[in-house]
Amino acid sequence: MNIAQNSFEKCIKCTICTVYCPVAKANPHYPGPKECGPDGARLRIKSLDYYDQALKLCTNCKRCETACPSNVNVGDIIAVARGKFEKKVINPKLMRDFILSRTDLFGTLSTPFAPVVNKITDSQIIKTVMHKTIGIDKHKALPKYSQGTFRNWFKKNAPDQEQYPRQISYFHGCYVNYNDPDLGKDLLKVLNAMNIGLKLLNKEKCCGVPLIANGFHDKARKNAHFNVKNMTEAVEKFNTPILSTSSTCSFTLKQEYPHVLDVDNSQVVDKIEYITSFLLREFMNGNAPKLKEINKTIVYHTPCHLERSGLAIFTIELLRAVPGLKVIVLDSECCGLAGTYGFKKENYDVSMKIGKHLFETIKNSDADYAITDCETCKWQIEENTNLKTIHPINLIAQGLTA
Amino acid sequence: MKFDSIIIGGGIAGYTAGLRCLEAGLKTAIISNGQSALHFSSGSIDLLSHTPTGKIIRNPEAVFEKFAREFPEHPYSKVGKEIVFESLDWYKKILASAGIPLTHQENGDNHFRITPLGTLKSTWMSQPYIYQLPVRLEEHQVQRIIVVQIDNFRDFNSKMVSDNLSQIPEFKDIKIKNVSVSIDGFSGLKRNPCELRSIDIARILSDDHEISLFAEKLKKIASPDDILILPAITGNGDGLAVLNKLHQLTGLTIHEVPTMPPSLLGIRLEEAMSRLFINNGGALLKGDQVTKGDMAEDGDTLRLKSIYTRNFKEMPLTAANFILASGSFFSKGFKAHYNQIKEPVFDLDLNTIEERKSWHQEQFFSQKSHPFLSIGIKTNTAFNPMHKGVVVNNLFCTGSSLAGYDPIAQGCGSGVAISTGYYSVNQMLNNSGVNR
Ligand SMILES: Cc1cc2nc3c(=O)[nH]c(=O)nc-3n(C[C@H](O)[C@H](O)[C@H](O)COP(=O)(O)OP(=O)(O)OC[C@H]3O[C@@H](n4cnc5c(N)ncnc54)[C@H](O)[C@@H]3O)c2cc1C
Ligand code: SF4
Ligand code: SF4
Ligand code: SF4
Repeated sequence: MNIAQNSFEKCIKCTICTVYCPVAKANPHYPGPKECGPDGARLRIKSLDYYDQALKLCTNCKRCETACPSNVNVGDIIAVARGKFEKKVINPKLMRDFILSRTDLFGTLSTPFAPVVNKITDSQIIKTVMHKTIGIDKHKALPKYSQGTFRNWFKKNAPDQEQYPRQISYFHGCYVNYNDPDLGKDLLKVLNAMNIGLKLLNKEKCCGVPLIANGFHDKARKNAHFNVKNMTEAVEKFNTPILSTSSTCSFTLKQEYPHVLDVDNSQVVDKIEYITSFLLREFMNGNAPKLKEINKTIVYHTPCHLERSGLAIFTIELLRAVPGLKVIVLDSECCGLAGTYGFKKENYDVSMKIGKHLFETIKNSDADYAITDCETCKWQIEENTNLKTIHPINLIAQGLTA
Repeated sequence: MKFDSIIIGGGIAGYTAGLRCLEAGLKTAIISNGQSALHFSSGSIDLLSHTPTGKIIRNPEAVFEKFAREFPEHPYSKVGKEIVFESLDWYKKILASAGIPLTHQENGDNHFRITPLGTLKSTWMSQPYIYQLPVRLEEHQVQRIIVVQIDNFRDFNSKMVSDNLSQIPEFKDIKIKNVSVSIDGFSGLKRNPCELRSIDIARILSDDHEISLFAEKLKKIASPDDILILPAITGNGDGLAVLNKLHQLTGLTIHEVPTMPPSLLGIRLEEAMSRLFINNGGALLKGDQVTKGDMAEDGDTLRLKSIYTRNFKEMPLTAANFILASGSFFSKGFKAHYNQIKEPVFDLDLNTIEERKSWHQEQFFSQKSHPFLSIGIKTNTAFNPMHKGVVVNNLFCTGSSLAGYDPIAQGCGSGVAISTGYYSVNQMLNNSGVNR
């Protein structure tokens, strides 16, 4: 069932969603969620001429949905309309959107040559060329690729993992696979310390969120079907939960598949879980790994999609359970990067304006680390505050005693 | 997940209770499905403007005991005078610490505020840029009123305001004028300004240059002795700072009126409370909805053991005590079916009116109050509700979910929300469930 289809009828026109939209806050030309979502949906039924190109300014952060008192799926309505009606004009920006959204394709191509690729994308000249030709903003550093993928590393460790009495399946996503295998390795350590083994899905593709954000819904739908099939297999064969360390991957697998892509995931949806909620439950049931004191201060930033899933509380409570750690919870607001959005030249200024308050608070905070659950928030915070930003799992791995 | 106390609903009642729980050192969570009635309110705290029989009240404190004797079912009568005023004092302090100074008349009288319709409404405590008219209206000091129409802004109509104000007998000798002012920032917009809501204008005016241009225009149309009526169009959370700047630049006496929703005045209160709650260590589950709970028998009463939400379908949230602050119909605290009204989470007993016909008056803008507005959850004197006649001993009901009063007709919405939120936490601390 695609709930975005008719949920606009529940809208009472109160405009509260627009109050909490980070893009409308920073860009007065963006009409905001009410006009682009439920108002526009009504008109678009009448004629596609009412489709407004301004919809592509939406970052798909879903903060409008968290605010709406009438439970309208405002962000979904906008995302669905973009997938259906956005015209793809063949120009260099389309190529840019293509590159930014094919995280797995370019990951596969780049990881074998990581040091070279990282150097190239880091060079000032290449940055300027990309800015001028395809519109990747010159202020941005593209994510670094790691040398060798997580999957490859895991192959050597797989047999060990099977000795543990309990198992989970791990959806690592593109980021862990190509950019930050260390996060996956840390997860493995933490789980092993809790006497749990880690499995991978037989195969997985990018969850599809950058494809959705860039309006390539057909390709995203293909990935979704592929992933649902592989997750179903894992559940049928091993009956494991499917865990993700990316707040965005898990949100997409659970919610965007049915709501935006119209892909049925009902047979696995209850098995998919974001890592901190799984861990906290284990901790509370007495299965916490031994942790030494971490006498540090951290600021915690809530990613938009974790906020929308209502799961930020798990991460926060998990961090509060780490002995010695001082946890400061920042105002929940968008960092401005929103996946691929802030990389684009035309969005750079708005993206920086959205994140300004967050960056300033972090800069003034005296913290040892920033912690967040989302890889793109991490890039944005590190790039604009110079504070090392890590995943909750990285921190817990630091505390392991053995 | 386990807490000392869990609060269902993030309106003024829920936040009052939440902040009090944190003060008492309890591990506290608030679960709130979307923004509250504050997003539609004036941002003034109504205490008590009328008795249920329609008599006007000038000084709520002076008549309190008599009121409590006459209307024992009213929530105020259960809370008692001392706690009602203690809670308001506490609320005032809390909000001042969050940057929103609220004031009331020194003698404890209600005051009138001018509404967006150009009528007068009696309230008790207001934000800084609300001009407080005396309830003995003949004693007012107003010389001239200037009502500002923002060009192209459709959610506020100055003509209606000035027309209605001139009907008020006590105002017959004062000059009331309405003047149009344009906002320069509209001209560069790629959007139709007629589609702009208060929040869009607030964002344009958050620019220092825009606000000084606006100030110049206001200075030309009014002088410091006038009351300048402006629709609430400043700030996205920091509205008072923008108004302070406007006041500094112009020296004018500004009176803000809420516009069609969203009401920036009410949003200010909600955001201040929410930020305070998080900073003080509370857990806020925003955009989530409590769907059901597990009750267990406890002697001849019931005990709420745990609750489930849209996001926590499998893993229950447990607490020693729970507070229900889920509001009224508008916030989905109640649900009206064709022939029946229900409290949707726990199916608590309501003081419903059987006949659908008698839920409301014939006229929408009727002088008499609509009976459905007094429908609410039946409670004992500790504000514990009942489920099929059996008391739930660790659940406390607050705010507009309660039966026995009409927040609109009796002008007591926020007062009841604050005092019952505060009082419930007192009850909870006395409850044996909290072993501290
Ligand atoms: C349009 C309007 C204007 C008003 N203006 C004023 C005014 O100017 N001054 C005044 O003093 N009073 C005013 N009132 C009266 C108002 O009712 C009270 O002042 C007060 O705001 C009520 O607060 P509350 O916390 O009880 O409920 P609400 O503010 O309604 O809050 C209830 C909260 O509970 C949440 N909720 C409901 N069900 C669930 C669930 N199952 N799970 C999780 N969360 C849930 C809702 O989303 C909401 O956030 C006004 C009322 C209305 C309707
Ligand atoms: S907040 Fe919800 S009900 Fe209000 S305008 Fe936005 S979508 Fe409509
Ligand atoms: S999803 Fe985010 S950016 Fe898009 S309309 Fe909603 S709040 Fe605005
Ligand atoms: S959210 Fe996860 S799977 Fe999706 S693009 Fe990002 S890393 Fe890839």
